[in-house]
Amino acid sequence: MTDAKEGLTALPWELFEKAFPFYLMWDQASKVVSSGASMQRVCPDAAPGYRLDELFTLRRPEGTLVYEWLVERESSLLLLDHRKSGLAFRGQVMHLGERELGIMLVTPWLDSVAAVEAHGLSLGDFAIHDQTLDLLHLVQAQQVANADLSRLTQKLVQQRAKLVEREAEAQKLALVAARTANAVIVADASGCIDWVNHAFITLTGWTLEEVKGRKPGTFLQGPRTDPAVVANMSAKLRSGQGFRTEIINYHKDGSPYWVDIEVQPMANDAGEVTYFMAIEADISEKKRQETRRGLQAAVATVMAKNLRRAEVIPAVLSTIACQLGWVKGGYWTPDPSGSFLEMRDEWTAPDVDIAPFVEAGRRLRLSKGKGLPGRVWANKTSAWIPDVRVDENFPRAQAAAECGVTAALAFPVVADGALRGVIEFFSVFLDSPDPHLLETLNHIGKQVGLLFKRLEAEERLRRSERAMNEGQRLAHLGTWEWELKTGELTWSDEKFRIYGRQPQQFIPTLEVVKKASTLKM
Amino acid sequence: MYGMVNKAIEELIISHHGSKVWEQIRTRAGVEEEVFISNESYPDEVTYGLVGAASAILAQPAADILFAFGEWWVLKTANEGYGALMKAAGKTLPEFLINLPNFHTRVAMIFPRLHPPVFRCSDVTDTSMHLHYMSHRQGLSPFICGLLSGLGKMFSTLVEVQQINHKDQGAEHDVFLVKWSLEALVPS
Repeated sequence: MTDAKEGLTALPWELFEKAFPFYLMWDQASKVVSSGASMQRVCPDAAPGYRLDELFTLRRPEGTLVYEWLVERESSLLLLDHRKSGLAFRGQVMHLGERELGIMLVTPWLDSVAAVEAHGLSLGDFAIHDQTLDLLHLVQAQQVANADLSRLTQKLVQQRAKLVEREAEAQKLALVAARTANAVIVADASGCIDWVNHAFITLTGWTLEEVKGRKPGTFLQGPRTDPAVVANMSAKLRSGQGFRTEIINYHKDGSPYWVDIEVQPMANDAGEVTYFMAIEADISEKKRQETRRGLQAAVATVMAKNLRRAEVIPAVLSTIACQLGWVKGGYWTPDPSGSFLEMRDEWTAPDVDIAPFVEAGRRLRLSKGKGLPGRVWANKTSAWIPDVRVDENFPRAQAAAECGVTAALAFPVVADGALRGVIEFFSVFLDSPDPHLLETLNHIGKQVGLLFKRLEAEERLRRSERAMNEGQRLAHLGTWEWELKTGELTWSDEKFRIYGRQPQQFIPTLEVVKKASTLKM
Repeated sequence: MYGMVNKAIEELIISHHGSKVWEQIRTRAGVEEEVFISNESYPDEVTYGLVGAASAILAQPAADILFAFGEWWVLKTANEGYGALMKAAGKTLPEFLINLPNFHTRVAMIFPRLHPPVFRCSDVTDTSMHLHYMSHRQGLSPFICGLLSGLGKMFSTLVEVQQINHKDQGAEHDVFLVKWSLEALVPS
């Protein structure tokens, strides 16, 4: 035996008890002779004199807790249950043959950390080397892991539910966006298009493949688009703000249309704008209606003014051109022979330079059917040419191309079915024909014709009155009229002179006439 | 760092300031994890990042936040996860502290990737002890003070903590002088 082993056999009892605080020792009568301090604390009845089978039941292996049986179980793992506390102990039996004693080195078998406290134990009751503590720690860690797993599962279930909800919401929104009659654009934070719906493609003529990654303004805006509106939109987008405005956009074919556009930023959870969504409604028809109403009101105002015959056409030309935003207006009338139309009046916007085109018009004489005015003369109805530069029946096409003149419209001025003249207008933009506007202009043409007729009648009346007054003056004859319903009297100029009265200072009455007649008789 | 520490930060922030502020802090710290696994090891940068972000967003010194985390860790998070083991670890504050080194040795055995700190008790008297804290991590002294304060509350014991050695001032490791009243020796 080595010194070390001898030292071990001489292990002081206190150290043994410290190393095995739950030991249990019995004699040949199977009665307890000694037990560890921790054993005594949790099983106070495990005291000398008590029989083992009074204190414990044997759970495994099957057998009886008697000295002889235990002697033969040195190689077995024993599991005992303390009768009073229910606390289980597991351990190994050893037989001290010379002294005829049995000893069991045990520790409590705990299946949860809570059981430590439940049985009045603390970690200090265990020997430090006892792996029971490590097992307890593992059990606790496992419980924590299970709690984490449960928490994680719960969170995943919640997230999944949210995801399903959001997906359903997104599908609904996508369906709405895809099916809505309004054009929808989804752009990234820099304003580049990420997605457009079918209505956008229908409205603009551009496909998603053609516009993806491009900024809408680079291909939707054009010459008639208001730069101030564009600047305001850009400023709002840069600052991540939503806005609503009306603006002229352009189709892929170059024709303009009005849209009501509403843009809203879409932010992530951190509040950063990640997308913009624009909804565009085509309001061209509404705008055209506004234009037509504005035009009719403006022309009506002109006609209500007390204009002379010669002032009417210049006023009508400038009014209509300004209302439409077109750059030139002209008035053509038939020559005395009725064979040609000649330029009688014209109006040009002050801020454009289209002198060659204006000059070309002045030199022209147009027969019926020739050029735009000739066409209107022949058909007696309004007409619209989207682009005069490519029109085959437009003698001024070359000058128009030189000056950038594009669209043109004209309408007849008619009175009593006879053509008085043709009014024409020109634009430097490719404005699309508007049949309703042409109809309005036909109506305006008739109103102008009626105005001419009225002014001419008034002129004739004035001439007639002048002739009659001159005749009365020469014959020294006065006339007077008596309105029987109202009793109002009207005297001719000569009548005033005969009676030595001033027309502005005297109101004639029947009594005056009667009195004058009596005096004369 | 122990996931449970990060979890404590999360729970403390949510409890005191709500989920939205926690999300702001998590986003600012660049932490993608939505759930911290208690016994999992996370890079220390995650914890430091969360503390830094919380300090910035809540406009509080990082030391105050660490102290609050320490208290919360003991009283709420660890107590919920390891409550039974903590109760078994001691019926009084000094008993608990004396068991603390063995507790952390077991943590190191069971979770070898966690690198838990090493604690040692010395100069133990009836009313005080020196608690030695040895860790490769820097700047967590306020967290330890918070833990000790939390333990005092857990055991209903008036505890006074004074750091007497500072690793960041050249000492070999941090040492805390922990004082308690004699009543602390009576199990609560």
